[in-house]
Amino acid sequence: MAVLASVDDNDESLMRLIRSGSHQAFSILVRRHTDKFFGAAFRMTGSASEAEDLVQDAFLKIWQKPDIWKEDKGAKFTTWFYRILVNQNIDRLRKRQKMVSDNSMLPYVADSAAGPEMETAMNEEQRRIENAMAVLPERQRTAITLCFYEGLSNAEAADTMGVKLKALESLLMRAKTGLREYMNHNMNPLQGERYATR
Amino acid sequence: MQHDNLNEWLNKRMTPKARPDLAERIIFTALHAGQEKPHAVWSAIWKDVMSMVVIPHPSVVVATGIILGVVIGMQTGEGLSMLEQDWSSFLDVNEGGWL
Repeated sequence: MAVLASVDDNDESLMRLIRSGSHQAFSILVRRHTDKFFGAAFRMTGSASEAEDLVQDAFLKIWQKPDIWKEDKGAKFTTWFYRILVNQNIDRLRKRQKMVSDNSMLPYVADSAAGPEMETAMNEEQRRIENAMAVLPERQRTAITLCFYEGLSNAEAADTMGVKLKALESLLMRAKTGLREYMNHNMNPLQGERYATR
Repeated sequence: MQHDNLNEWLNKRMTPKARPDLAERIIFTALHAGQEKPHAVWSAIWKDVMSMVVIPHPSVVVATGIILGVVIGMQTGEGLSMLEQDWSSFLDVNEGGWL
């Protein structure tokens, strides 16, 4: 007899049901977390449409290959899902780089430029923050997103990104330095230069 | 102008809300995408085949060697003592006969 999923089930129980093919459990999980992970994906990509694609791809991955969830490793579902998002984002950037290098006629579009839907809605300060985040290298932006915005501990963020704790701390430090320099140069309207510490 | 209040500045960053139908679109797409079922039989066969060619870990080899050695040694221990007895009786006989 098939076990029915309930909205009261925790994420890990739902993943167990998804492994046994429960689309209902998958629906509950998606409805529960889409907004949260969309926020994280937006902060990583800087584009609402790309964030939607990223979240969709990540959820479809766990639906199609539920065996990638290893319960015995004891990770929380949300922490584990960040890893899927981060990896999907890396794949997306690789594909884009390949597409650009395969076709030199394609104009290079900054991977984290805010989409047109955001451009109209953003005020000047928001635009500055988005620009500051956009000029950060992808790994630094991901580190800031996970630790600052998503509230992961440094150890969890390091695990999610697949780097050592020291490396993560270094990424965070460089990101903050880059952001501070960007702020100091761009808050003065006479100096419109953008740069970040790579 | 110095900006040491980086955290405060970053906290002002707004995130747009996801489109209200995003979750439903994901659920709908998944329904049509289907799920990869693990091939239990094939994976079991594959595991068996692989176990035939996989080289065991050195510590497993040493442990197996020691266990086999002890077991064979214990089995042949009795035989050796019998051989010893045979040998000594053979010597006794020969000593008695030749010397």
